[in-house]
Amino acid sequence: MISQKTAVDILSQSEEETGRFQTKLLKRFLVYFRPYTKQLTLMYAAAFLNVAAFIAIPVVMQIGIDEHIVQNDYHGLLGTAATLLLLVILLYIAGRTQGVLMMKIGYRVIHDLRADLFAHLQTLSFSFFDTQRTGRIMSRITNDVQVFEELLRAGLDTIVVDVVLLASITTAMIYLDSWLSLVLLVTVPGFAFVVFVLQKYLLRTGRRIQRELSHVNAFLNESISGIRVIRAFAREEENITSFTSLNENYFHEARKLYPLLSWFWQCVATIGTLGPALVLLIGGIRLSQEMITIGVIAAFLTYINRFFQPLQKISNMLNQISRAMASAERIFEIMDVQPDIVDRINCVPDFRLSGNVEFRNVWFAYKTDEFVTRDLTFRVSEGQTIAVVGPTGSGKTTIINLLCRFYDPTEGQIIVDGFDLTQLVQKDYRSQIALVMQDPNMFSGTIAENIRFGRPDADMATVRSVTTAMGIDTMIESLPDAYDHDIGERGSNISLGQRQLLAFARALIRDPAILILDEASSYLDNETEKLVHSATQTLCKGRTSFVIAHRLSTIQHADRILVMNQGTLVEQGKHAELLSSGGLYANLVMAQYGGSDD
Amino acid sequence: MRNALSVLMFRTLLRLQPYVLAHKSLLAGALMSVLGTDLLTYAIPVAVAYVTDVVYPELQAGGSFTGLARVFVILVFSGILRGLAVHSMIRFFWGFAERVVRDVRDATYRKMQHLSLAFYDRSNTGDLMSRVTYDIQLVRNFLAFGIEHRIRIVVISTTIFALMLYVQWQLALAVYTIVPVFMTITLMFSRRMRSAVAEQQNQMGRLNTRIQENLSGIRVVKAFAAEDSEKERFRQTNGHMLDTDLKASLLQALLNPILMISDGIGGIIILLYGGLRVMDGSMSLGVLLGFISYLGILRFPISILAFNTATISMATGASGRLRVLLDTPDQKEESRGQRSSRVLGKVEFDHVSFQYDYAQPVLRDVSFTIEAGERVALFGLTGSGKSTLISLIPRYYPPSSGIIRIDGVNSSAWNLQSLRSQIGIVLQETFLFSASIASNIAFARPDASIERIRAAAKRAQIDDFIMSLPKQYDTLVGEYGVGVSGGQKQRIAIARTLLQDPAMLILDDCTSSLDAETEQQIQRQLARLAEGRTTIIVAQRVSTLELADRIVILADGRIADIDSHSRLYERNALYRSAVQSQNVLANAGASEL
Repeated sequence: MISQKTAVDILSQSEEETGRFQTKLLKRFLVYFRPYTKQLTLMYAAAFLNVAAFIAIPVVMQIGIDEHIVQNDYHGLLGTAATLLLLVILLYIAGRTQGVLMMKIGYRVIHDLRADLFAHLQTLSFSFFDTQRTGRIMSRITNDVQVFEELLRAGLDTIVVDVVLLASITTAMIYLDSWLSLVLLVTVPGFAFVVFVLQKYLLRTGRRIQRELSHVNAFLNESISGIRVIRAFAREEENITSFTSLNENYFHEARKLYPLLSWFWQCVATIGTLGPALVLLIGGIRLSQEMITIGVIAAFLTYINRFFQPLQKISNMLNQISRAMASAERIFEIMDVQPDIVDRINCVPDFRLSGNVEFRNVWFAYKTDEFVTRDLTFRVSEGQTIAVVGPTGSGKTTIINLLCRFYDPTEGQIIVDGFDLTQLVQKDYRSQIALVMQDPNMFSGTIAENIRFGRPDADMATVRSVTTAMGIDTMIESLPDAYDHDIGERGSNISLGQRQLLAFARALIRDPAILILDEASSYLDNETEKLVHSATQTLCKGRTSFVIAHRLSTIQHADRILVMNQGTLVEQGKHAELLSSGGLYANLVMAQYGGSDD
Repeated sequence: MRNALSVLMFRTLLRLQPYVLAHKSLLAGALMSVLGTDLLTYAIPVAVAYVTDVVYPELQAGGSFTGLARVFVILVFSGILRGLAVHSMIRFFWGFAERVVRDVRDATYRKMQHLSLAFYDRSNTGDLMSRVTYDIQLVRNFLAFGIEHRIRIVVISTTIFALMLYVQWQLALAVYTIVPVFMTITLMFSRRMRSAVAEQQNQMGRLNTRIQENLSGIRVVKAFAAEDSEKERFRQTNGHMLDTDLKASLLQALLNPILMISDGIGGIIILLYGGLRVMDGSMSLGVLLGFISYLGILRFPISILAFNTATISMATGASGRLRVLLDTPDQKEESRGQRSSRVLGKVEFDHVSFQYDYAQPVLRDVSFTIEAGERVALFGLTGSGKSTLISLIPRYYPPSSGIIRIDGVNSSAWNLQSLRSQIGIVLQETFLFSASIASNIAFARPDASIERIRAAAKRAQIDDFIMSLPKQYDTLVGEYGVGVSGGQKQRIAIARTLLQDPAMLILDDCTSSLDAETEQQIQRQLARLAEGRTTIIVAQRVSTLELADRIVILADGRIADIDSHSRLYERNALYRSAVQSQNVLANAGASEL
């Protein structure tokens, strides 16, 4: 198993298009098929039945021609037709069963894989998400899973069934007439060359084109997202010139592809004519020697071009498998990453949090030896409101991260209600705290759904009581559909201020014992500012609260202020005390507010 | 039905008319090759019939092999010829398609670069992207093989019918009963498949949004211990995905076996009816075998029909959307001003009102004058119209009524390129392109020397940071490059404008995301830059407001007051209380303590 730290290095490797065949990966992937063994068996049974019917039809036709039509036996011909009809029905039923099962199994497997991947991601710790870009993880769970879908479309049954099919056609031909089946010596290598050699070139060129196209599209995407900057600098004409040349590069690559495509189908067309021509030639010779009948020639004409499709499917499948290998490698890489923070075996059972917090000589570094907090020691009793202030990079956010146990201290201890934080079950602890972040991450859905995110089992009355307590009930009622208002992807349909207030409500509905609030630094409009201010008071009341404060009013209301600088706690105390002590806090406040706060 | 689809094909071509006509000789070549490709296929069934009825009986009667050899040689030749026809057909079609698509892509990009910002306000990035990427790809598919398949479906199914009728009309009619049946079934399926596939794509979008939201909000999820409820929500979305996937793919799985048995059924008809005719002597065995061979050729149009229908109807939609885009009027058509002299910096708003085309008026009857060289701050609550006002000056939008004059000349009379390149604007939300830091800073002056780029970066307080990166000024930023923070991005954007050295400067509250110390340093630089040039600053912070010669207070789209900071502070109670109550707290904010 890979730890998170090493996983980071692995995941940042370049994304290869194709991978080597690895039995280990295949085995892990096959595990996903285990729940569907029965259906899989049935699917293969149907597939082989299908092959059998497919092979039998030309033979039955041959019998019909040679023994009934040529012999003027109409009753016999009726029998042949009935047999054919049965075979056709069999072909239909088997084909349908096989196809339907293949889709059902395949999409279920993809569904299960996606669910597993998503569930696994939920267990990973912060350090993983710190180092991985969302886009890269997204591409694992979307594009790489998609590759498996393409594999499925290429046919789960392909290699085995098609090899059997090819073998059966060959056997049938040899059985009918071994001399005539020598024509296979011309067509089979011909088709194989087309499918395995030309197609490979074709794919390689296709990938190059795809790369050029992605350059074109990336440029285009930026031109759309950055249109305002482009306007501001009047860069339209230069951009058009750059785009045209990228587009020309793409066209240049494309011009290498379609001649190959032309050669591919030219060969298929010529070999496709050559096969029957040979059958007619050799068949004529054999016929004149009275070694075969006319029906055999007819059957051969049917068989001869049926080699192309299965061969092409096999070749496609081989290519798909090598792409899928690369994807499987990337998917299982993520599955193998283990969370840094795991619950201990002997945790405190049924923990009820009251909110006493103590930091004991806490040191922490995100990267080895680069400490962002040093020897942090302080104690907070139940119910206090603590404002944390300090310049950017002073370690305020780290205090939050440690308090939520997103990371464990490198050295020292965090004690909550007398227990070391690592002795608690993460879920137990976190379900009794609440965090409001600067950037209020909302999820698409309604207002009510977003508030309920804090407590999924809350009923509408509880939701309302929370919003009323915060004084935002009227604001919500004024929106279209009120509590059922759809806030859009990441809350894009409502304003930043409204998102912040919703984040407050989401926290309050949990009635947490510890509240951690990273106050937004951006200035909202008058109305919203007032709401935010009073909501902050409501939120902090009656519980231990840590506020990274950006508003003077919040700081003034705090029971204690922790002043951070370069990872150490430099001062603590009440606003008035700190001001009169004339330390860093006093200096900063005077410098900032002294002039205009008259 | 088949006609309706051919109509769609012509409509699609018509929408792309100028681009198609530019390469019409390639299309003509392609169409000729189609005939060669399909007519030469009949060499085999014709040979089969002839050999069976004429050559083989001769041989069996002890005749020579010359007849057989002749047929063989002819077949080999026709095979080679058909190969050549196929080759040139594909080369022509694809060459035609790639060229047309290249031209359409260029034209679309050109159009998009000049479309008004109002257009961009209405559309979202994803939508526009898919217009140019996905839609153009659909058109390419249509041109490269959609037309080919459509024509060949028509050519093959009619010529075979004609040939069959010619050879043996009763049997032809009997066999041909299956063709309309299979084609109708296919079309029925393909209609249902289209809506199922559309639903599948929508659901895929929803699924991706769900994952995206979860991943970007993963910190909240963890903080709220909401992993289980997130898994449950995902389980539902994923379950719907499975349902829609199955719906679309099962339709395909049901259609395939139907198509697979088409020649089986045809074969039975030929064997039964043809066999009877052969027995009573009214038809030869060769004709019967020839018919079986024709049946093999008929597989192609039947099997390709569903796919082809989808290709054409998707391309019709795509070409319609592209046409709408290409026909949208753009800034080049809307504004043909020619004035391109040096901007001195006097700005007059003369009874200007403005509204975005779907909404309430944002500016109402705004009149004021900014003298050249003056420094003016815009102050007002969110939504009061500040950003709109500044975006009218470089004429990103034309005013709905009233006139804006730059140096006494209506802004519509200015050449847009010239006007805009003389106005430096730093937006609140900035954007960096996927390129090196150096070329991002040199965006306005691509030929600037690295010394000048560094000088600008130094003034924007970002040089130290850039030099600390391993590749320094060659570091790639933007979507595919290294991540830089909002503040760093903003400073790069400021450096970009400093290097531009514009005649007029517009700053849209662009320093508020920086910490106080950096902000003050940058403001000192900006103040130096503003020296002697007209500067318009959207500002909230007292420190910035104090620097302005005059402050324009906007409220609800109207000018509420204009005066210097000190005088406004004295006489305008609202301004005073706004400055006191929130600004001191929020803007001089403790965040930077």
